[in-house]
Amino acid sequence: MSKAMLSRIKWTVVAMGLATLWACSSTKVNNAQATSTNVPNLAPAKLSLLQFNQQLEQELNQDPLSSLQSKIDVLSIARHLRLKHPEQYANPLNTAKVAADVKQQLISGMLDVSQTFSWHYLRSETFKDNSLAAYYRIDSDGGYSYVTLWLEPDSYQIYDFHSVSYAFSALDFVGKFSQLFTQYTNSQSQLNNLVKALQMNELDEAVRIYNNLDPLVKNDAALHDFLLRKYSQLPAENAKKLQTIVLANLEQPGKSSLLFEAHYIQLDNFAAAIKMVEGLPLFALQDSKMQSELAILHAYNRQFESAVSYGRQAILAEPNQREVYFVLLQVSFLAKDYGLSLALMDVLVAKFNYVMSPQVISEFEDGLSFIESGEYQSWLTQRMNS
Amino acid sequence: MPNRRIKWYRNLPASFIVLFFVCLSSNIAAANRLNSHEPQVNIINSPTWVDMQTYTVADFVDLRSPAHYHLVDKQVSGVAGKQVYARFVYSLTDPSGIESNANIHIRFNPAYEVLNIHGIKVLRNNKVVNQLKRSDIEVINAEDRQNSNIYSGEVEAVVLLKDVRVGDVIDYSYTVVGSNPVFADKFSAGATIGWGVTVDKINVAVLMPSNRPLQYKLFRSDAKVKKQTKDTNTLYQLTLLDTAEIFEEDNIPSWYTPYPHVQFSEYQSWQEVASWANELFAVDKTPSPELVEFISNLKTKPLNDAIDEAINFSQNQIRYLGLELGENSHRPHSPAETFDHRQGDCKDKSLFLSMLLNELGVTASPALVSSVNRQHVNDYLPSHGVFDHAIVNIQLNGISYWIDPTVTHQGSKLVSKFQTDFGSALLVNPTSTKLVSAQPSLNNHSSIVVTENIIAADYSSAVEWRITTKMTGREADNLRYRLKSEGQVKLAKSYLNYYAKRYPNIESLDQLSINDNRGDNQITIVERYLVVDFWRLNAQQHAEFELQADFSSQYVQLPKSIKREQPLAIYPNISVEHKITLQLPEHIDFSTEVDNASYADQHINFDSQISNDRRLLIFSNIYQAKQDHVAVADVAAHLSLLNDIAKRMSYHNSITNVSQDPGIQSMQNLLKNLNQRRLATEQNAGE
Repeated sequence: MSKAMLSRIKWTVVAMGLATLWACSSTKVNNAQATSTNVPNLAPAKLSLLQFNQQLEQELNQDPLSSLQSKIDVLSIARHLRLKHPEQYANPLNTAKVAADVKQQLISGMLDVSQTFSWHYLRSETFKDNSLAAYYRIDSDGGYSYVTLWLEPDSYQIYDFHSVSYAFSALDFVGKFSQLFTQYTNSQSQLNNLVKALQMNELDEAVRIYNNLDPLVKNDAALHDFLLRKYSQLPAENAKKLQTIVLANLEQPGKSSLLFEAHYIQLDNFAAAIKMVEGLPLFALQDSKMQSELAILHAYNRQFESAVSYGRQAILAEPNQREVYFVLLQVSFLAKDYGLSLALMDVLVAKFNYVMSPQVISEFEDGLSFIESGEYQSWLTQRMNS
Repeated sequence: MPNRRIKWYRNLPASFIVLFFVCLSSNIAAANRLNSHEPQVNIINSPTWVDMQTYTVADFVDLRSPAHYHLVDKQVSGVAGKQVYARFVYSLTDPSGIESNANIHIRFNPAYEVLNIHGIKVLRNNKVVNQLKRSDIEVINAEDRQNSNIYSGEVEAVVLLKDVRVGDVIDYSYTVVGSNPVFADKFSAGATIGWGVTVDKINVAVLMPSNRPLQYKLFRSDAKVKKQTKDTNTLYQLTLLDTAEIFEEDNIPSWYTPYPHVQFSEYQSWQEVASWANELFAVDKTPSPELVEFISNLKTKPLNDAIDEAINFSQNQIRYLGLELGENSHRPHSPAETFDHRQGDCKDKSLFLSMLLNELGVTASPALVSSVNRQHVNDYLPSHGVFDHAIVNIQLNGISYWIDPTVTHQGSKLVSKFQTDFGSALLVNPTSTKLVSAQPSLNNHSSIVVTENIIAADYSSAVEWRITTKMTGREADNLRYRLKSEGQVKLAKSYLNYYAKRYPNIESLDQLSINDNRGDNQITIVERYLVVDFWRLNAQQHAEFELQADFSSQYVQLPKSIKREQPLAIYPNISVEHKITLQLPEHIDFSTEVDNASYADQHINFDSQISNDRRLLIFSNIYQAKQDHVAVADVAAHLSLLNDIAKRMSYHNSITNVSQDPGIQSMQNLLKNLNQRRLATEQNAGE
């Protein structure tokens, strides 16, 4: 129900967004738009990192294919495969082939994303070993997720892709998964059969093979990442067959995946849903969407103080996004914290020029209780008199 | 006013600088229950072997203020035991001179020394106007290292002169007879021959039997030592007239002294010093029953764990206490005694730890080092007097470790413990013949990484300020010590008050979060604050702000002495990274501010960067020390570099038209509401 509520809020925002004016004027150079304009049309090497990502964001949202062909470098992928997995990718020919495959998989994967989601560049981070990560949020009406694009520091060529839903990046997964077969030679045959069964969508057979695996193999992180990836590709009805074995891993301490947040929400197990979100890497966790997510989950878990705290964090993270105020407004209604409700409505009206009509308010859960409250009536009266 | 060197020089029983072990120290006497030897002070004539020196007193108007030193005379005889004669003659030419020079202090150790005072005269118009009586001499304890838990048993004979007037000449002399038997009659001594004041005449002489020849070496002086034979003895002498005043500049390396001095030593080689040390450390190593049990218990553990436990026990469970009375100024207590009493000084703990490790089959031995001279110990003649500290050298898996058992609160594993670079060491083991390099091959570098995130929801409300500080090496050790000794609450308060100097209305949002990874010797502290005064609205309604990435500023301070003739010390083996990210409510184009600047010479590196990202302005400074000092010839250029670096410690800018945003007031109200709730949550959590 919560997921529906979250979707509903987002829908409301989107629908209402068409009727509002974006009233945040300033003489600062750029407004807070998700897409950026005025990016010089230069070759990547001459762009700053910010310019590169602004351009990439634009291209991913408009015409991703041509962009990705030129921005994903096979040589770079091959080099990093060798660096990460020197023993497995010592043979240059084999490595080149794998790298070419990976490039195609990356392109097709990112194209798939672009069809359903919009890309929003968050920021970049350079690590001590000089590796460079560009963090993106991918938005859809159904929700959000996050990816890391790993870039060459000098040329900004993309060589790896990591969705937060999985434990490993694409290159790490390729290396570690193929390592499974050399590491557990006694289970090679079973692993082959497992892969085959999953490819053929023989899910019951796949579960049977998995359950008969050696415990060491069963607990291997790469195997679980493989199962999770397979799970996420299946239609919902089929996916349920793999759910038990996938969840058994994710419910262990320190493990989580954003893929299953909705699953626990459906079960009203908000504590488990929270765990799925809290396992996100920091860049994603600190994003306004996830802070809002935690706000609403804590509210449904009747932890209103925490919910408000997360709602505050969401506002700090993205104060010019309407959605963060809507989510906290919903929290305030659930908590019956009408002082906070009014403060939020003041902002929605003054900053975003929203019309907070009773119809809009009633769309929120417990909105009717708020409408009937003395605080709202006083607020209305004040506004009418001013 | 005489500088501290003169004062110290006057106070020591020896007229020479004798470099004892710091951990042994030789200052104020212990309480009576610590030192059972009754001080012996006599008033007798000067010994006959002393060569009485003459001096001249010029007319008063020509004398220096506040005191004019006519004669500083130090003579040592090693002929019939050790006798150290000293004489000081000076005129008091100003009331301030009387204040600082009318009290006589003479230090000695009653465990093995006797003080013979020959005279303390006050001369007025060439006539002696006082009469020294035994009752004028007070003997008091002189344990001025007790704050460091070091007790040496030394005392001070104090004479407070009465009726001293401007124009008077003070002439006093004494001999300290005897020496610490632990030196086994091996002679070693030094003397300063230049001070912070001019001296009319300095005389230094050493009389030794000719069959005990001395080596000598002069430092920062062109003076020549005259050698002459007197019967069966040899006299080594130097006399200097009108010695120049020495200015000691600030911030000089510990191993550097601007004062000319001379060193005498009977040792012909470091091997002889090593033999002496070996014999000294050859105490009874028979373990007590408790110690036997402790060792047996260690042996049941995997070797690396046992090694770690042995070191950690020596560092943290054996209290540092220097009961350095008599021979124990240099001879360590037995390991059994150190263990049973759970106390010891550097040599006690070093011997104890070495013994433990040897029992585990690990090659380990005590090592003598100098905390002051470091690698410059090599500059001195072989002598027991150049060392002031003992540590432990451990040889394990092809790596040489230098572990200080007197340091507490270090990382828990040998492989991650910070190792001080003492430069050179003399191993105390049967095969030791010379000084060896004590430069650690690993873990002698410390780092501090400060990451600040400032999150602004608008341009007037309070910002949230998150500070993450990660420390390694010595910095982690120091912070850990501070946390344990002061406590987290006190530390948090001190941090808050420090920031409040800049932002008086700052509030703490969370308790300090501390993650101490002792295995890797890394400590991470996370702080969160609400800063109301971050934005300043100026007359043009622009929101001004300032970012200070200045954690490294303490390492690049200009010294007081800019025009220098002495080297400049640099805090060594440290890197500091300070990065601030300001997150704004919207994207603002700071591309024109993007800047990279590097400042480097052979001594330090400093990289400063301003960059931007979506809604972010990033300011970072990275500092790294490459050497421990700047040579005199390079100082001017280096200070010019420091001036440039100082300008990069902060960044100012402002955001325009901030008051035109609609909803500004309602946003301020909402944020204030939410921030108050957040603060209330923190206060409730604290209760």
